[in-house]
Amino acid sequence: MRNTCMMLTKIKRYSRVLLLTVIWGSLALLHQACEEFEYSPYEIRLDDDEKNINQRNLEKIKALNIAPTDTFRFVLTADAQGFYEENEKLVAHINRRDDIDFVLLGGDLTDFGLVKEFKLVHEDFKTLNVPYVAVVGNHDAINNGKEAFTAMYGDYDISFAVGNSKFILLNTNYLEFDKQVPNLNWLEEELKAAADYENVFVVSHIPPTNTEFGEENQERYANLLKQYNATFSLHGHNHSYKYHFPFGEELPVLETAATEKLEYVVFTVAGDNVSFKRVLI
Amino acid sequence: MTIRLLLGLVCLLSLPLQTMAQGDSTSTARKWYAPDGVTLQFAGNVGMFAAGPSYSFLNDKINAELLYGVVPKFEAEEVLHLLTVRSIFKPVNRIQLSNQLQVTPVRLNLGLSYYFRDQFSTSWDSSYPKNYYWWTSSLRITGGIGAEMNYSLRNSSTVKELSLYGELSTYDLIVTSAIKDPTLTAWDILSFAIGVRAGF
Repeated sequence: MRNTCMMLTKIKRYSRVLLLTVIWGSLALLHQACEEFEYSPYEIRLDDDEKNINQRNLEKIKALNIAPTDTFRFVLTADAQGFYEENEKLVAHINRRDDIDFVLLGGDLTDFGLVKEFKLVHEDFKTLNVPYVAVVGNHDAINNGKEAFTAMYGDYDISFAVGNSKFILLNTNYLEFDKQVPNLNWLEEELKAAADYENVFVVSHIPPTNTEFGEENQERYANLLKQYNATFSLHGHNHSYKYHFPFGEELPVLETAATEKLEYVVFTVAGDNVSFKRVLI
Repeated sequence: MTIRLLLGLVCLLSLPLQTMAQGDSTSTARKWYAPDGVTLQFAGNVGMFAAGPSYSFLNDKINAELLYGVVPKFEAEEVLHLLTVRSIFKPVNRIQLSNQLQVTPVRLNLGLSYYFRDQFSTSWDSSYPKNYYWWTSSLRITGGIGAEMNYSLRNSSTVKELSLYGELSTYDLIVTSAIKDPTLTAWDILSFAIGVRAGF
């Protein structure tokens, strides 16, 4: 009799737990279901891990504690727009190596600036073993992409330091920003402030050699980078690999290919010696 | 520009009305512009909530609707307002379940949404190279497939029928993404919508 009573209490207790599990389970399902209700192609509704991505990843890069005397490596890739199949392969390829410290994504994460596309790209790139930082591309700044990019990645013009190097990320999407960018005054301030760094990388989506950069900006941009001894001018946009010296041999300009081409560029920084290697998957 | 487009959309909607209303026995008693129902929808790329008049043609085989939708701000800077004109096609006859309950097994819809906000332009600035961007930012084509359940209220003098429907919905731009990259699954481009239509 006592035994039966105890068993009953036990069952009761278990059924409570079961009930609670069912309630939580349904709530989770409902939450999942809400994700499957879309209100508009232009809605900007984000999960927590889809907000403030650049800032959060920059903190991760900082936590690597790369000293000025350390050698470090980073990947430059760009134009991931709609190439989900290739993005997955590229991320997997980078994940198979253990010598990379972070990845720079040089703009055009999307075709249409849609949150949906940004989310799909982040779904792949967040599986990188290393942090990634994105710069805004022209396709990311159309429709309501500016709002989407800002909500997900943060400010367009940012700079950060890694070891002995300074990285300046610049918005060069001249047409999409009503010819008000690139903000070359800001760039000059950043270059000035980077005087103590051995290497300076200026990263932007549209290269200064494209007319969409704004022809009135090209000369000043090149002169600033030369004046302040920038190490590299790094870009995406044209979807093909290109390495050239359009502004004289002291300023190398490199364009990385779209992820569609299944390639990326790895930079190795050892003191003031910067080398790079084009990697074909 | 906005007003002109709005008027255009209204005209577009009334065109089939004027030509078809005479042949439609259910609407002869009503003025040509009086709707045959109202629709309220949740989700489905026409707003979080969208509502508006619904018109019935060819014994309810075809509906035309004008929905005003709102998308909350969430992480954006502003609430979005949009107007959708759409037609719904129900090719299969209703199945009678009981005296009052019927099922419409297939409903297909195709709509055009106009977004009221400056950042969505109807033409690209002339400074862009030709064909730099191929679509129109303020207009989106949406489509869906679903089914509905119809409940008739015979004793009511106002609402004669309540229809509850569910749909799988998608839109133009994401469809082009799926064509471009076959690894995008149906779930990546489809989303749910539910709605109710009160028929007069």
